[in-house]
Amino acid sequence: MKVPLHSPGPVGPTGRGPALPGPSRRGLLRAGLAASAVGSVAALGGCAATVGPVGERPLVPPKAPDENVTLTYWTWWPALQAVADIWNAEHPDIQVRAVTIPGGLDGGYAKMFNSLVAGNQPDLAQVEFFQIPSFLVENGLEDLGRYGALDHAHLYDEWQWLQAAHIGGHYGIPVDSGPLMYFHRSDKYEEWGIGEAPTTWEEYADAARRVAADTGGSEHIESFPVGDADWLAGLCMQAGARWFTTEGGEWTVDFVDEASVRVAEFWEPLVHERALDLTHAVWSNGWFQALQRGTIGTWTVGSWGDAIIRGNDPDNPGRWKVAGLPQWPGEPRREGTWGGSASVVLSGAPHPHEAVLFAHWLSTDQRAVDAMITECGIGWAASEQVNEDSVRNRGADPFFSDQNYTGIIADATRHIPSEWVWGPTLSRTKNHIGDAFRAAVADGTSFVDALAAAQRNTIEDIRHKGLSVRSAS
Amino acid sequence: MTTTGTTQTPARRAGGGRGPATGAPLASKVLVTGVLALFAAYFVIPVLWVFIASTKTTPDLFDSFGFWFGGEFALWENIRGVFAVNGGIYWRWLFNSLLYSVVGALLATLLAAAAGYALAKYEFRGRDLVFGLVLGGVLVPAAATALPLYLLFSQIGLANTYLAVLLPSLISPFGLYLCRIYADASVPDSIVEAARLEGAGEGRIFFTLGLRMMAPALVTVFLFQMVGIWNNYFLPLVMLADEELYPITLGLVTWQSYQGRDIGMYMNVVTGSTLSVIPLIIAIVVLQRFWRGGMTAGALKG
Repeated sequence: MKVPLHSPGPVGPTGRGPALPGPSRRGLLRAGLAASAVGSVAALGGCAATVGPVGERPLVPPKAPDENVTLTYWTWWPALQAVADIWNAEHPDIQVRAVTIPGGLDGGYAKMFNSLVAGNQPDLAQVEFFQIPSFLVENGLEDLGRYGALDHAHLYDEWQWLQAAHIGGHYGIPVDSGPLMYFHRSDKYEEWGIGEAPTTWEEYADAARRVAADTGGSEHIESFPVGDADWLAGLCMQAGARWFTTEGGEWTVDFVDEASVRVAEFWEPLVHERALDLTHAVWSNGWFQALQRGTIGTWTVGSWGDAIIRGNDPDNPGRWKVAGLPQWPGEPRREGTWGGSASVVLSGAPHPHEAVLFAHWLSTDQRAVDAMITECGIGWAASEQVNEDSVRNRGADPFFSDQNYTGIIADATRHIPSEWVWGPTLSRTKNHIGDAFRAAVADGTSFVDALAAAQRNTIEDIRHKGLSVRSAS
Repeated sequence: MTTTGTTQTPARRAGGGRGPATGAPLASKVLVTGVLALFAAYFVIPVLWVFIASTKTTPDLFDSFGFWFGGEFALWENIRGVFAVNGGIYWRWLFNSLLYSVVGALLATLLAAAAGYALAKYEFRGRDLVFGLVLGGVLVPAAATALPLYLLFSQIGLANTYLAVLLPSLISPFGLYLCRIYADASVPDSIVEAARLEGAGEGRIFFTLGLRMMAPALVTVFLFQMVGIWNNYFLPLVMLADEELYPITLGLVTWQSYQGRDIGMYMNVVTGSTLSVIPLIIAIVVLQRFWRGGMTAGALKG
């Protein structure tokens, strides 16, 4: 992939509000800021020299046997140091220092891009899967295949490993991920006469309508996550969609293929009929309360949501159950994902060999995985094996109604499509989807049109990056 | 200070001037009080919510009415929780925030006072140009300068140090503006002249006379700057990559980023926010007296 070197423009403090294309005031302001940043770099003699096309960079040799190095790891998990300390005790020559920074879209990614420009990049950083292509178009990541990462590939779940593989290179070591799971209140399902978790989306829709009708709209099967792009992407992935593909250096964007349209047309009437709850936004205080009280009975979320569900309702084991997603009739079983992150090496970092050693240990050593589960609350670790052997998998789980919690997730992960690719401007794509769906829900308009609008804006963004892009339809 | 006696008279007049205000029509008094009450509510209600929320347990945080206490009074437990995360890192953030804001605001005030005094009391060519440039600085939002500063500081090896946050905090264009206006009004040329005749050097005149007479303005500048640095998020975000150097604002956001994984973090963020307000409340309450007294003293000189 031949990509022009861009200066990462400053992203706002939250990273959530990048400039819109067109002459909005904010856009102009940001353009001015970006220009001033570039100007300063030039004035300072250009310290971005470390950032060149990834394959043309000289290979950094491993450290000398008697040399001591300290690796810095930027993460948003406050307790990662406790995990690194296990490694540090055994590797006096490669010490790891974890530094907690704000989460990616809370400013963490902006910080990483800034550090690339200034040449202050850490040795390792935690980056969500969806953000990896955004770093690649800025030449921001080292190809870890050149530093021995591929030797370990067989130890990882393929669907996770491939999230960091792009165009002949490998740019990250998966740390954790979030298979989409169907968490539900089994006591309420009994009461509502639904029984077990729905096995098809058709059953889900029937149940949603029945609960809303029987309770006069005071209780709902689930809260609709208005404008949540991660959730939507996961469900489209499950339906068999592929939003982004690359071929011959060109991006193809397809938000309105048959599968995505099926998903949009499924949720649209449920929302417009109010068969789903729209009063309590997911993550709001009212929503947490509704989950406790059972006026909302389901949360479809990455498996990491279990920590939230337990923490929100710790004193009532046996009310919750977990299941795979309802399926589309006539299709092979498929599941989706929500979230997940990898350890990456930012371009120009001084110790890529040692960084790969540590990153691999972090993701596959059982002690490290167990410590990440207990200290950092990670979702699904990087391979089925380490999950099966983990502290989380100690027989029937009383909180989840004595289900075999890990076994149910492991079963689901075997059906996650491994060919899903994220686009190169994903934080903005998320905004576009959020804006379009919030408007569609508020105005009662078409969800398919919302997808099409998000696609148009995303294509525009990619083109603005100077990349070749086309729409599939 | 032979002028003290004569300035007392205008003070009484100024006091007497309040008379007509008390006779204002009832409707306007009600209106003004009502508007002020609305403003007060606007500022107090979020703080009230945060305080009440920080006394709750995690399930109560979501399950009970936001503006009243939950079933269990868990404030002390929550405070212990905040100081237990990552081996008590919150202490460190508290110390850092105090360091950045108190030291930064003190030095910024001194610089602003010296510059404002100089611009007010010395005639030199280009004085208005300098003042105009500084005023222009008021218009540039601090966030816009953070990134260029980061690149600059990275070049000279100062990024990710205490100085990276302290140095940019020393400049307060607004403070300089206020100090100049105030020095103009409250430090009479005659006193400066008299001191010179007595043989005092310029430095001594500034430190012993100027600073004292400008005290009320300095308290204002100090408070503004301290609150500004205390609440600054973007500059530390850009500059710092070491939790040991973080101020509370940045630290709390790192916790907030994590609450999606660990629901217990909600309580730490809420309680941490409550605790972070306390030093500001103390500073305002302690310095407020100076401030009010000072402002009247300032009015005398007019």
